[in-house]
Amino acid sequence: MAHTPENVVYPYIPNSVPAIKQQMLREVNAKSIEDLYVEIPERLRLKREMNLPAPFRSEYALRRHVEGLLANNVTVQEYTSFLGAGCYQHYVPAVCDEVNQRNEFLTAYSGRAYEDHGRFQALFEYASMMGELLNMDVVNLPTYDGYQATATSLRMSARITGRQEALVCQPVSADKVSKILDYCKPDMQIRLVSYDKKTGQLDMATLKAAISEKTAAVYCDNPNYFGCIETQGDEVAQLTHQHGALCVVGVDPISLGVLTPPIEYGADIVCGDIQALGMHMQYGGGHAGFIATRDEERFVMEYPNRLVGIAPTVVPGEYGFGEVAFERTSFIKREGGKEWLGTMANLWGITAGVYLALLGPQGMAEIGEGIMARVQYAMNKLAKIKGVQVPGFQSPHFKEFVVNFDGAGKTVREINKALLARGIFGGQDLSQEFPELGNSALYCVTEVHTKADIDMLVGALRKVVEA
Amino acid sequence: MSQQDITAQRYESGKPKLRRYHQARWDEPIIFELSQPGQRGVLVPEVEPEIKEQVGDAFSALPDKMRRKQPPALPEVSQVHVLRHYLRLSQENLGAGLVSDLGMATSTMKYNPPINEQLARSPKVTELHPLQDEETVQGILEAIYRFEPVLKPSIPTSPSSARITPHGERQSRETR
Repeated sequence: MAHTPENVVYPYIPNSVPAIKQQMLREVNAKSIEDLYVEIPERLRLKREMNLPAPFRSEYALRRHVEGLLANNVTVQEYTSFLGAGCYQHYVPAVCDEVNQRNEFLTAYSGRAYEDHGRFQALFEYASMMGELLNMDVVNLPTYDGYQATATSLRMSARITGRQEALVCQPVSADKVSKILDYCKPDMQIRLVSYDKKTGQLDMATLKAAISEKTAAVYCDNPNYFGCIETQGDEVAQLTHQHGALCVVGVDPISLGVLTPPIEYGADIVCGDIQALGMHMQYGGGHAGFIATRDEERFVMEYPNRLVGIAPTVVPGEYGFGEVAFERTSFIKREGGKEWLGTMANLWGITAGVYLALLGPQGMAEIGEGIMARVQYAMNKLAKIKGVQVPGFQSPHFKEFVVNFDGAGKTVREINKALLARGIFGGQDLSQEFPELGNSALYCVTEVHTKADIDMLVGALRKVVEA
Repeated sequence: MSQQDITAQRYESGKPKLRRYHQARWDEPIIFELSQPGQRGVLVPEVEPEIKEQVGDAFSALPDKMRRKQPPALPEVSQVHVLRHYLRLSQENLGAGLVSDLGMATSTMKYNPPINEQLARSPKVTELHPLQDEETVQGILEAIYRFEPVLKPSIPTSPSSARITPHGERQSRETR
């Protein structure tokens, strides 16, 4: 049948039945749909059909088509993956999916606390549980992702200190640096501070030389991009505070069942990504960011994001939830706002709340300890392969570690292709991002990896490298 | 017994009577109030004994100052109570699926067909890492590639002004 909009009833558009459409037009004294657009100047109106691909009329045909496309993907369920570098394969408890596909949550948008009481409570609880995990008082509603949360933390630091320069301690992923620059240019200067080649941690001497009275913030990741656990956090915070700057730390929240929360070694602003807490990787679509601070006005008033608080209502014993200092935001201040705020990834905030409620303190401790044990096991095993150097750095590691293949006589690209043929996604190739590391890759091991998975990787690498 | 016309009773002078809708009100406690020491919502994958034996103390390389001393004060709740809690919170919520949400200012709520959700939730989408080798993500790359011309419909997708239909065959503009 020809594509003729006049006689097609579209299931998604309830009033596309011709008779109903006519009735509605009569009701508003319009002859045709075009009459509704008379106020739009002629030159701005599209006088032809859009050049869109022919539609799939039936839902079944659409499903067949899309599933046909998706069949060409190979997932981490089919192959064994050791990729990390900012997006992580963790186990997603079924209850997380069960809750976030509830239509009431999924399709909720801009409702206020009176009719979306449940969403406000769920987000208040998310922020509260994150607060417990981080030992911080204030946690915002999720940003787009952890990279944006990092950039906003640096902008907040600039506003709080009245300074315009941030020192970003390497190693930080090139993608994260790129997003920091996107959000902080042109009114902030971002300077990268090199890392210690032996430990893979930030280089205190370089940092000392770089910091000055112009510095608004010193930023580091912990664990950092190489999976190294920064052990100089307290010294960094002390140095930073001596210069009147703020210490900003990016943290992987799934590490905090076992690792010291950054506030305890002096961090002023803590930020990161919650994808690890109950979100599928979704080819990079499962991210959301958090920013946390102490409950001090100079910090709270510089958040551009929504904050949810709890308060009594007129009904004794009833919990009420609402926006905290909403007048801060660009929703109220419009172009005068500190930073633009749009609708964000709140569904992932609710999901991370479900995750933390399911795991509890014991689950978070066990998952952290399990990851550290598996990482140690994988590093020990890989180190025994001739031509492979593991770990690349002398530091304690969490979840990730650098593997160097300089002695293997093959590039990481070649090695990863050979692993792929054996059903393995090898670690992220670092040879472009950090050329000074030579032929190195960033491997990731989490609680999803069994001993058999790790042994299979070791066996495959041995064959590939020693071949 | 006289037959009642229930349908007619729903109207007054031809108009529907006031709805008696009431949203669920659960007076739901805060999740921390549901906590009881020792309860578990989900158990995490166990480390195999061989790994434990080989590694010994997983924290041996970690300086004491980086080891968390006080466990986070997260709630300890059984799975059924976590699920029930969040299902109740979901009921105290009006999404666009339930009512006509006129949205706010720059945003309008469109209908999101469940088929989209189901396809997006397919493991063939959710279980992909963004850094996977290109040859293993041909499906999602093709979907993105095909979507580009939808966003810029007036720009030809190839020098010959030919375009690719969702069915895969090439079709020139003239034959549409």
